[in-house]
Amino acid sequence: MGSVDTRMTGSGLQKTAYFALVALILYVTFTGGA
Amino acid sequence: MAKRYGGAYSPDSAASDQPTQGAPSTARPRAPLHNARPARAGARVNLLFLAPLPLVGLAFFRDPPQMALSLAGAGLLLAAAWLTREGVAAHAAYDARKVARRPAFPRKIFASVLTGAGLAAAGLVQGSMVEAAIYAGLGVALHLASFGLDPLKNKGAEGVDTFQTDRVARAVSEAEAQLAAMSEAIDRVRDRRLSDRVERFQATAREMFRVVEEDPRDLIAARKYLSVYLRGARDAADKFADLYRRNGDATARTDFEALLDDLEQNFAAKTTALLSDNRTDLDVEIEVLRDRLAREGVKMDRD
Repeated sequence: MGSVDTRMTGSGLQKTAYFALVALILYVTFTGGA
Repeated sequence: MAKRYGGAYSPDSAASDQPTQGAPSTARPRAPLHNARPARAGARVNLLFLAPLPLVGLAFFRDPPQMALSLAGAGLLLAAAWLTREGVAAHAAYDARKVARRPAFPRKIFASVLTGAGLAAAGLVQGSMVEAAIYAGLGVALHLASFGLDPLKNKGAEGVDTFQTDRVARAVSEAEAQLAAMSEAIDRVRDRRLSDRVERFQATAREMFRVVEEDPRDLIAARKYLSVYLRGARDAADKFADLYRRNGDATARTDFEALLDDLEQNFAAKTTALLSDNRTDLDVEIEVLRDRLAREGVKMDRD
């Protein structure tokens, strides 16, 4: 107990990476990779 | 004077009218979400299921080879999203336990690879091999950065043989199954106060699980609680739910709540006893070390 777990809730890097991943999937989806 | 807001149908209204009912007098009041943690496999993972869906629709406006690639990409990305959700849930379960084995199948790592493969397939629709490889590499890296690796090490099993930890893990998962069945039975009654009451008992029971996980030797002492009493509680909850749903018997409800009070007090007392056993262990350990140190001192004097 005591320490706060920030693995998925807090870290800015993880959030940025996550949104970049979603954006990448959408980009490749709509452009077909060209 | 400030007065807590509440109407006839507020969850706690009946409890505040009759303060003697419900909570056991000795138990300390506990927040309803005491020890609870938010589920990690939430909205963030669900968005991964949505993102590749346009690929399915777009596939049918493309040439056959491109269509096949688009559909393959969508399938791989959806499979990756599903694996990610499983992996995040497994990681949360690993974190919640004091003693846990690493997952036999590293779901999140495999999901990263699948994401890369899906992006490569989708990228080949219009792009070259090089571009597809870049998308795949980016996808793997970003997936790993946002969801992390699976737990790769066993936790809390140092110095304890796997046979013992397995026995504890099995006992705890059986006990958890009883608790789940109990919740299911009480949820049939559709009474929030009763559900809360049962949840409070379950929180007390789970505290005992954690203590046993920490020290597998406690399993022998706690075995009866984890199996016999919990099974009894489950059966009682089942029968009570059937009866109460049929005729709303108030005495049955009082009896059932009294049973929960008794169970909770007993579980809490046993947990305290198990912890004080650990305390004795610590005392013995200190004693032995001190003795040995003292003996060393004597030896040094002799030298």
